[in-house]
Amino acid sequence: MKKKLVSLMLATVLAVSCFAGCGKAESGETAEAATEETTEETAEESVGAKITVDESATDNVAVEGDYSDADLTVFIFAQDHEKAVYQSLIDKFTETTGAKVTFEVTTSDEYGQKILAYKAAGDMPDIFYVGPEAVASNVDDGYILPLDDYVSEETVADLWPAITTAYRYDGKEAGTGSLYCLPKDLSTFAFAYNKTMFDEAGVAYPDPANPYTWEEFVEVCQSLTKDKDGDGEIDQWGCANALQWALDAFIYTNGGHFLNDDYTEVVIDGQKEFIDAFQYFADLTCKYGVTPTVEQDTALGGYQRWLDGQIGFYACGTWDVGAFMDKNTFPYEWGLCAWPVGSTGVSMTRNGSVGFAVSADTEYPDAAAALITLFSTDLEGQRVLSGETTGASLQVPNTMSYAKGDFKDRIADGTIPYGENAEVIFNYLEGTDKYKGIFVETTYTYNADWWNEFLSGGYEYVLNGEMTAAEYCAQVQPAMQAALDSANEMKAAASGQ
Amino acid sequence: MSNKDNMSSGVTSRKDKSISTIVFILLALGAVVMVFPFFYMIMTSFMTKNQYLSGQLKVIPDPWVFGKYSEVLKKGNFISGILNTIKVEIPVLLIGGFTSSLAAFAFAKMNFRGKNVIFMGLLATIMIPFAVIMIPQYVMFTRMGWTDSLLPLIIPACFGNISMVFFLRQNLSSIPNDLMAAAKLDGCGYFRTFAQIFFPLMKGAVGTQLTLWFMAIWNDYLAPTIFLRSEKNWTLQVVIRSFNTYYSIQSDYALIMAASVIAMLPTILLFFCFQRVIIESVAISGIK
Amino acid sequence: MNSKKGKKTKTKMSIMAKREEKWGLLFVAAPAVGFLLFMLYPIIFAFLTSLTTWNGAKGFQGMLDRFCGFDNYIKLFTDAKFWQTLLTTTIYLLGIPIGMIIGLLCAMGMNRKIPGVRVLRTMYYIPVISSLVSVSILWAWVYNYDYGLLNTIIKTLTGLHGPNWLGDEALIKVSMIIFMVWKGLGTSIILYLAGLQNIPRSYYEAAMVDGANGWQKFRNITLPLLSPVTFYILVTTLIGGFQVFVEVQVMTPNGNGGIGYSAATIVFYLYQKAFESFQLGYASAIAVILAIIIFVITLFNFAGQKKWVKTID
Repeated sequence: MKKKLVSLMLATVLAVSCFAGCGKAESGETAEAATEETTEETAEESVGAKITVDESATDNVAVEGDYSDADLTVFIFAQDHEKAVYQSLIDKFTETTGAKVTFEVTTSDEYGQKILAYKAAGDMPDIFYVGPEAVASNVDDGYILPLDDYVSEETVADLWPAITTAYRYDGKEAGTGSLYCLPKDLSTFAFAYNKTMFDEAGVAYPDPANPYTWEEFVEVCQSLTKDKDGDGEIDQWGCANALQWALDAFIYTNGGHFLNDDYTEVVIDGQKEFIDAFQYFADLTCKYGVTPTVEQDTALGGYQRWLDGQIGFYACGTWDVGAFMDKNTFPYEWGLCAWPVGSTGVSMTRNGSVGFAVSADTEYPDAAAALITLFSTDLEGQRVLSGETTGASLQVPNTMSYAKGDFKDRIADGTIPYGENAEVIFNYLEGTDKYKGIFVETTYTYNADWWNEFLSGGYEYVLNGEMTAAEYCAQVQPAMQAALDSANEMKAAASGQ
Repeated sequence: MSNKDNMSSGVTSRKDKSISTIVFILLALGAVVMVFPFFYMIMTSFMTKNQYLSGQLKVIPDPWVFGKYSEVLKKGNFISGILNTIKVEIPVLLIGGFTSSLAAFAFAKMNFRGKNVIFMGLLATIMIPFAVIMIPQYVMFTRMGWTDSLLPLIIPACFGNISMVFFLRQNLSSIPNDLMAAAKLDGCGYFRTFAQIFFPLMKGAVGTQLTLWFMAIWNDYLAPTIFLRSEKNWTLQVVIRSFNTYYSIQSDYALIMAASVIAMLPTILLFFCFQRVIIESVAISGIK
Repeated sequence: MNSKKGKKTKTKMSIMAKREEKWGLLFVAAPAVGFLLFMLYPIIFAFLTSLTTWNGAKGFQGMLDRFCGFDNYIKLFTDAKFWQTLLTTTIYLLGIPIGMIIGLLCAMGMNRKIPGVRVLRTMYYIPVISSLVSVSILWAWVYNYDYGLLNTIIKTLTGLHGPNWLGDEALIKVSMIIFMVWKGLGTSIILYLAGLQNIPRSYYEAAMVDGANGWQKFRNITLPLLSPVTFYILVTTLIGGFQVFVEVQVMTPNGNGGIGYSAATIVFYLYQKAFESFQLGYASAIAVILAIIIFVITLFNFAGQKKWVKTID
């Protein structure tokens, strides 16, 4: 009897949902974009707008060359919408060159272990992702091809300098030598503010030309932090910075760093610049109360609160732009601004990138190089990825000529929806006297274990005031140092071969 | 005589009855605890985002949002995921079920040198975390040319499942050895003894284990994730997991829950139908 | 003449024994061959890897180049995280007896003549057949500090804010145990139910005639006759319990293992070492140690079996 009832219920549910599904429930499907280095967790879980790639969006894409004997495998991680865009580019590639391409996608969580498995089995895809932190080890282990013979010098010269530095390696030092990857993107983690909230609170917008000092920043946040619905509990906050993504912005702007210059020592214990910055970061939560508490943050993350309009300032990666422009996801007016500046006076944040590499074992290097050129630098391809033809921006173009030219114009005239003050992003990517974007220190070490030690040592206690930053640094440094030592041993062993 | 059915006695004292009522109430409350999260899961699949993020406990969706289920079915490779999983289930359960039963019979009822060593050795295979096995296994499968197919999930499993062997062995040990001795005296071949005498007795236990195995394969995602490459081969849990990462932080829980509910349905139905066999499996009807 | 006959019987028996042996080995051939084909190489590989600082690159040559003997094992002894996760894993094992006791009680309850047993059984079994990943998400939600089911109920009933189930170093372990007990309860119930129904009523009737009370019946009939089931559950849940890992990944924010790594288990740690730190050698060493621990405990169980596990014979 129950069985019949259950089946009946099921049938009804399915039937109804099929009917209803046809018209209703537009939930503005949004998905994340993760463009950070492959070894790190999905970046500030962020959102891309729903992008359906029309046929016409890739009309102008064409690749010269006859690669009809080529059979390539591409293996990357990507969100649904990114996948759609790359698929359409691949389709154009196969159409115009005759090559055969197998496109394999997985989640960013699983990418690392699968690539490892492929390496162990000696069964590498022709094209795969390599981030700046992995270039040296991949080259040392002989997995990737230098691209100098396959990509023209002018193309390379047109890339953002930060990119070429990140992907050059001469066997000993990063930054010089052959180029090993073409970038998927160069991203930066800028700062955004909720204009609607500012309007309601009667607070002046931040001025990108004059980043706030830390004192000014606290004041502005305090004026935004309030109990809006009068139930006695604060429900609107000035900011909500996730430590693992935002701490760097505070540390570096204060002249601090985690490691010494040759990445052999952890130097946070007793380092004034670092400790002051970390303490300030924690004070935002425990002393000034302008962010949700640690528990509130575990209940609902800062990112979600931002999307719900509870937060005044929040990090905005280049990949977030599309999502924040989507009214279904983020129904508020917003603009870009600078992270507050510490003692150096320069607003700093982290840049990120991941690149396309060609396997050293590939049988079709020319075809592979042509394909990654399409993904990375081809003008028409960039038009698609940057949002000019699709209407939603996934990334800033990799080529400076396009980025500073048409791309900027299209933002200005509205073809590409973008938050106000897009020049903030350019500032971080290129660097100015007030802005600088850098790759974080985990990029230069063999693995990020020392950073994970910092994260798993209980920093939350600093955030909720139970511990001071100085105490925490002293406590966690030995474990970090041990992890760094291990990593350096692995690095020495690897390059020793 | 062993009597399976403790409940068939017609005489229940008043004391028994009142105890039974209390027991029933307690069990029913417990059942609610067991099932509530699942119930909430179903309700969530009909909720709007604002509702399930809202900070207050609202169990009944208001408004009801339909369409998540059809969205799931249209999305990704959900249907092909189900088909792929079934393609794995059928050969594994049929062949692996047979090999495991046969082996259990031998371990329980036959004597041969090295019996215990072999058994412990096989049991040891589940003591090693899959994480360290998967890379060398992947290397092996690549050499064999099985990558990008469902073979790595099917072939090894067909050779037998040690948990099932273990369980069946326990089960069989409750059958007195007289039966075996009688068969031997009758000059019955070992395979015939297995097939015609013992297997029918094991049917219930085998049924239980096959159902559990079915569920294990249905819900497995560690192995498929590492061994499968192209999307066309993805099994159900891999597909669902790809939903999770894509959608979870920006909290389209409704979609994920809808997908999970759909994924759970076959196993629930299976359990419900085979319940009687499962429960009464270990209970062996008289040898006499 | 007598000795001649005796000799003949002996030879006959050994032929039979040999035959039995041949068939016995044949029947277990499938799993044994499966083991040789698919598990032997990986196990040896894992063990060899544990003697190196291999990072996954350059195949075998890469491994041999980085041979380091037992260094990894020595490092393990002074690795705080290893001991921390070992302790956490052991604490999680407390869930096993709890689950077994509750399971047995429920099974006994369901063994009575009460209405809707079929429905009840299914309800208790639903957690078991649910996919671990989606159920973990659900529970992470149940435990959510502000919006979770538990804290909302607590707030409604008492007006107080519930505790930080997943954010407190000690409490998170309790939360994980509750979750794991919930998840596995159905299996114990089903197995115990089957075991209970296997006990002949005649035993109970005889006991009643002897004037035994409920507790004595339980202790002298039910428990001993359930011992094969208890044994199976004990062995398998111990083996599985030491390898808990997906639950930690899904229930902790960003899969970080909990605040201060308080919820992380050994396999979770091993996994990170292998796939995030690329220290496959070290991870393999952890796996080997873990496997040895589990094996020893299982052997111990099997040896002790004779003392307390009774069969119907």
